[in-house]
Amino acid sequence: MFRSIRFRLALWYTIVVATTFVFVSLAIYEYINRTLSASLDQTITNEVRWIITRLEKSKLRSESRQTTREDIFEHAGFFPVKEYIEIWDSNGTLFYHSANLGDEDTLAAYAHLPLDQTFQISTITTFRNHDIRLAVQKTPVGSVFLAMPTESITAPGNQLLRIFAWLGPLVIIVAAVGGAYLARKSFSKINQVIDIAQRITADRLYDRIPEHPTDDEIGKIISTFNDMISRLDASFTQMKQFSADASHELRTPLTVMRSQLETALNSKITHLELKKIIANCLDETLRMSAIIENLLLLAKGDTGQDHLKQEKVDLGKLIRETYDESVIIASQKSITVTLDSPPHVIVSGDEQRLHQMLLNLIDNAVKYGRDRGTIFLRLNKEDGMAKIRVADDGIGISEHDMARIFDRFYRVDRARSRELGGVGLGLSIAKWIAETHGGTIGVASKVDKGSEFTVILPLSPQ
Amino acid sequence: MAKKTQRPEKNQHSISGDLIHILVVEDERHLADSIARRLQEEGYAVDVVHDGEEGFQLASSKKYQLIVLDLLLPKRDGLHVLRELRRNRVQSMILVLTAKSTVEDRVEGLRTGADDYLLKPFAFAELIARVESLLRRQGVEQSTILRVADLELDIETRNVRRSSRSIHLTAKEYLLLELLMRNKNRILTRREIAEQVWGYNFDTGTNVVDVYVNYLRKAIDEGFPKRLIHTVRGVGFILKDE
Ligand SMILES: Nc1ncnc2c1ncn2[C@@H]1O[C@H](COP(=O)(O)OP(=O)(O)O)[C@@H](O)[C@H]1O
Ligand SMILES: [Mg+2]
Repeated sequence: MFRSIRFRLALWYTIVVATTFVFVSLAIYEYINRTLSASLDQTITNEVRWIITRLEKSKLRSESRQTTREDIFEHAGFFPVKEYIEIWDSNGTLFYHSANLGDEDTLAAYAHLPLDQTFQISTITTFRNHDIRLAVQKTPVGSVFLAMPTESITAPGNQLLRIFAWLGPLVIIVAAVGGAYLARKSFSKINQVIDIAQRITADRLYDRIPEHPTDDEIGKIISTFNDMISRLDASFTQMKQFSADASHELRTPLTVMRSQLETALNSKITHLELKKIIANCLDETLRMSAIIENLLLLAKGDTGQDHLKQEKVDLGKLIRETYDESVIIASQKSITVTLDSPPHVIVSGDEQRLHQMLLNLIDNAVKYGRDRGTIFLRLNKEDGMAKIRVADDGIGISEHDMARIFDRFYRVDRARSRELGGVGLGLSIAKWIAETHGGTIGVASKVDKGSEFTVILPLSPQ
Repeated sequence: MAKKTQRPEKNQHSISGDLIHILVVEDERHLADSIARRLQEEGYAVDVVHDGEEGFQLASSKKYQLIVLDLLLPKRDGLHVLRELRRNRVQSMILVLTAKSTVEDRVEGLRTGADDYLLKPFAFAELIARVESLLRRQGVEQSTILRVADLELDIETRNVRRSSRSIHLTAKEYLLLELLMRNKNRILTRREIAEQVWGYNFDTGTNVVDVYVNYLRKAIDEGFPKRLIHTVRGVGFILKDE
């Protein structure tokens, strides 16, 4: 529990709040002390100045010393703060000595003004039982000693410290509780994420974490996580579908073979029937080989084991060679194949694979083409891309089927495809080849009019 | 087009003299033909069609005791055919053939109204056994007795007799004999026997099959002038009556 991020977060939160509190308290305390002591000094200086002015005035007017003394006494009496005043004549006799100083004490005993200075203010800690702030001013009319207790300025600061001392623990408790709450609150969502993540296994991939309305980190974690599950889900479903399809496709020829062979072992079978059965079984074996070969190719592509070559391929040359082969394939159905002299187009990739892709498309164009029809082969450069087109004027493909013909094992008419020796993987393979070359494959078609397959590949960088 | 109903070789299965009609809907032509041929040998009248549409039409218009239905069909999916037939209250027993091996697929088939299913690839003996048991459920009077020459096996009571002499067999010997009799006049390989009697799907490398065939020989052939169980050297065994 103490190692959980949640606990550490709460702890850190508390520490930070507590430290901030202490620093702020100290700063306030210091500030108040400073301002108050500055204002005390100011008051003292003002008082000193007033006395000097009074003394100067009395000298000018040649007043009686008694009048001056009474005046100062009166002034001090009305002044709101307690002050100690002591005045020495320029000839060194004591002129004024406030009563609160008592008979024995003199302020002159506490202050030692250096010879070259006329003013000094300092804190005296040895005066009676309390600290005082003492100012000395030497003037031609005499030396003025004036002191005030510092108590008046330290009291508010101390009061404040006491309040802070009470407040401190309270603040820390509130911070700790608040921190724990905040950490809990933000982690409850994370715990939910953890819970669901633990529950999710291969067959629970439909599970999602409830979306978080705000766009904060938790929200992002949740949506990232959900995205990841969705992708896993998709590829799992695809994989399951694929292995189900593959097993289905392989079971079918196996079933035919098993039933035929069981019949063959019947002792009443005729020689001719036996030959027919063997021929059928041979066909099925070839079909299984084709399925397995194509499946292996796709599986290698899926797992990235198939290392495609990266060489410069002259598509013009390749399509011309493929054209020669397609003329032979197409001749069985008396189909004409046309190819305008193809331009010089270089792409980078695997020549053998690209050849296979073209053959798959041409194979389809022949299989699903019209007897005595035409197949158009085209190669050109467009928008900085190589564009290959294979078009036929055959049975065409409906809108609905067009979306699915690139899916593995999908055939519009299974029976027809099977009769023609197809296993429903030709277009999946063509698509895979186009895409691993950084290209795309597409189809446009109209039922009973024909189909046109277009492969677009990036040109090789020169 | 539906294939013409072919006359069965021997009229073994019938309801009060009428033939029992079975419809086979399977797009894989060679497979459909083998199934039809085998069912005909058993004495059923069989029609064969190769797509879901025709299958549905025929099953709705003609009264079949049983329909053997492949699930993956052109034109109309097998499950779809199944659902529609059940909705139209077609009472025929339906045996589904499927190459899908996942449990969900089977459950779906049964829930949609199939009476039984058989996973491809299957053994004919298995197909025939299922067909018979479905027909029995349908209330069709069926002989429960398999007969080769003077050897008889009652699959209900599990009684085995030869020339009215009762023969006692162990459980495995019984299964082996039933398999041989269901495949009479046909060679069974050792591996086929191992798979269907013991459930092994691999080469056992032992001679268990030979040992049991010998036990069985002792039990049913010893003391009779005519031997029924024969060894086909290098291939397997056959039970035949000629
Ligand atoms: N040129 C075409 N014209 C009409 N249909 C086509 C054409 N090419 C492909 N198809 C349809 O797409 C399906 C998938 O093609 P493909 O993956 O090559 O499998 P296969 O040719 O083995 O059946 C075919 O079964 C067919 O129905
Ligand atoms: Mg193809």
